[in-house]
Amino acid sequence: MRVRCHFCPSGQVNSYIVCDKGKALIIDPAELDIEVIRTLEDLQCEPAALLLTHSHVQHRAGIGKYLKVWDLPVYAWSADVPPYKAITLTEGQHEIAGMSIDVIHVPGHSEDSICFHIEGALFTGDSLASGRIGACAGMHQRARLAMGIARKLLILDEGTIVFPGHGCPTSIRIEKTFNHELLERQVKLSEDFFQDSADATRHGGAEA
Amino acid sequence: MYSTAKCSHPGCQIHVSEPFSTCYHHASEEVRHDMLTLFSQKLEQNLVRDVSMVGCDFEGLDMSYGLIRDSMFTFSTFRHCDFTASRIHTSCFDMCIFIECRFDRLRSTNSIYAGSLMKSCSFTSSTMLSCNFMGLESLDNDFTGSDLYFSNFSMGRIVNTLFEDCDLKRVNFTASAIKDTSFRWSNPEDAFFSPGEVHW
Repeated sequence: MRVRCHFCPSGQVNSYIVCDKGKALIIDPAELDIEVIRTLEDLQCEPAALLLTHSHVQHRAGIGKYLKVWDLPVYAWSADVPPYKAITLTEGQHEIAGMSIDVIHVPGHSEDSICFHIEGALFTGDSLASGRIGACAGMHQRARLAMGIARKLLILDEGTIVFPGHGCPTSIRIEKTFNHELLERQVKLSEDFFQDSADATRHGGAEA
Repeated sequence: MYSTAKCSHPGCQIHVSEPFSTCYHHASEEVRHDMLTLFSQKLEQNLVRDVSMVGCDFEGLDMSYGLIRDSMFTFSTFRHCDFTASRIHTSCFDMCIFIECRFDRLRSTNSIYAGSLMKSCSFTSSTMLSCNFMGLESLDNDFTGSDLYFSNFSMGRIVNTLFEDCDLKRVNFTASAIKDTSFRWSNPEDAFFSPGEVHW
């Protein structure tokens, strides 16, 4: 399997071309330009499917161009990707274009945010980026996203390479060590835990 | 792409590259020799691709004008190595130690150098787009004349380092401890620093 990043300057979005045995998955098709064509030629592969980490417009702005050139299925968490209809994905293992893909639902940045875990690579869209977590509409959604990342993404192998929708690649090990937004949350959780433990001890002691 | 196979030594989580079943650390002397021979063959061709050399020590390695792609060198040590005018794409050098290495005129994209220690290294006139230097321990390094667009230097400790005449557009220095570092003739106003910090 090979992964190539394509940076789309409008929206500053990363698209990814994941190629294996002559077939390519396009993750977050933000743009179809000459660079993408050159990369596909270099890898000697043909696009087989478009995958969306979420339906925000800058991550899927290139769908129309792709569908003009190739007849491709579009996969997403939600079927509604106006003006297109997507094939819905559920959490768990899927076989797309001969590649085994683990779909992980991590709501928070948007309700339909998902991550794709393909071999040792994790495509996180806007859920997790290098050193930060995705922007959310409110504290509740932010807590939900941080919890989803902690429970579903940080449990993956530490050597897993993370390819985010914006910015540079990272790894699970690096995010566990240096992502201050997740570290702050861990500290908060630890403080809550110790506060709860202290309260329980105090109440237990009072009752005794 | 990086191999996802793990070292066969019990408890070892390090990735190994084909055709080997153990990492460099747990390999026998004979297998280590084979690993280094295969790696040096790739070096001679100036094309290092799909290599996993995790936790290795390299001294005086000459990778100048070479291409490193889809390779993993996590937890490795590089002393007096020469990467002048090389190209490094989608590769992992995280948690590494670089001492007195030359990366002048390097072109690197989408690569990971996070959590590394870099001492007395030279990155002059380099182009490092969308590279991850998070948690970097940088001492006496020189990035003069480099384009660092969209790279991440957050959560690091940057001491006595030159970022002069650099393109710092969208470069992230938040939560980094920065001391005796020069941003002269660069555009730090286009980079991200922690609130209250001014470095120009």
